[in-house]
Amino acid sequence: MHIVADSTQMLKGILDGCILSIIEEGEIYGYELAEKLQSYGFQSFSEGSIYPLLLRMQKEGLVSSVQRKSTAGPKRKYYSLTEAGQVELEQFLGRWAELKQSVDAVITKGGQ
Amino acid sequence: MLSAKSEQFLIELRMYLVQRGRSDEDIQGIVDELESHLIESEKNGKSVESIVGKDPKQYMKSIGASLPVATKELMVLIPATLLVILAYLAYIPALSGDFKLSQTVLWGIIPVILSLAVYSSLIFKVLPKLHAKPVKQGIIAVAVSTGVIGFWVAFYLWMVPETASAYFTATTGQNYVILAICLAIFIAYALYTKSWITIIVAALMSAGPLAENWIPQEVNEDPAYIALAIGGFVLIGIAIVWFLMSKRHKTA
Repeated sequence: MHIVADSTQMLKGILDGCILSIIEEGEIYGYELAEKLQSYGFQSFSEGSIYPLLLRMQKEGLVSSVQRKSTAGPKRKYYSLTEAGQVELEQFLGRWAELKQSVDAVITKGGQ
Repeated sequence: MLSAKSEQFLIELRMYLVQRGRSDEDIQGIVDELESHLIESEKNGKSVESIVGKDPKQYMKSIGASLPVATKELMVLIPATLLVILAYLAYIPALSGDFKLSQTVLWGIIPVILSLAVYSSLIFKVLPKLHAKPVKQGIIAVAVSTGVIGFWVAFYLWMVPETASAYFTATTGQNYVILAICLAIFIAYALYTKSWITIIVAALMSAGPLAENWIPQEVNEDPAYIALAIGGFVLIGIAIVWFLMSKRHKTA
């Protein structure tokens, strides 16, 4: 229980970057995005939590969306990355690389 | 087609977010996306818990926390709603040519607003929880609505004869001006909220005073016609309930 809660806290800042990175691969709708995140190993978040993030990203102009008909049910909202989203993703990758390096350094030192 | 559990969750989520002052646009966006997600998930054999977690209340809180409060909308909506309530209070007396301000009327605004708080808590908190039990939901809704409307009618009947302490009694011309202002407020509010409900309520409220003006007094006070009118309204009520239930049955 604690592990899940802690993972959720750790995820908060990272999930945005991961979502941008998946959307960069190509247009995608919410359900598909949640499935992809899970297939990459993100198991400790509830699938529905991506929607407020997507809404915020859309307001910030990082992603754009378009409604398309679906044969499987109601209309789907497909998301794609904007230029601002691309810039944000590159900045995230830079920040993540720095953070990863620092955390790795601390862990390695702790392991010695 | 969504399961009853998912449908109830979406209704509760919508009400939760409305209560916490999130914008209509954001709420609609989230609810539409979640509805589509839940339909697809259920088709693939997943439960609502896998989407929103084991504690739906907690999930609602997290959604609420991640959406900004629609401060600008609320800054317009709260005073506008208060203005509409005041307009409703002034509307019937003005329509009856009997608008006046007295200590009774001014103090009476407090219980009217309190009764509205009871009513909105029913709509936002109690009814969504009873989504799967339409009969119980209907009985509670009718009981509370009757109680609140009954209270308003009783309050109005008690308030109208109060003339001794009147600070201001409107002339015929002033009553028309007040009536025009009230109508302008109802129309503006309906346009702002994109809902006819304000105008429909005003139209229903007008029925009594208008009928009193148009219908001859001997007909108005004839018990046979009174019984006929009550019977007519009961039949219309039954027809509406029957229509709604059959519509619900068809979509289920």
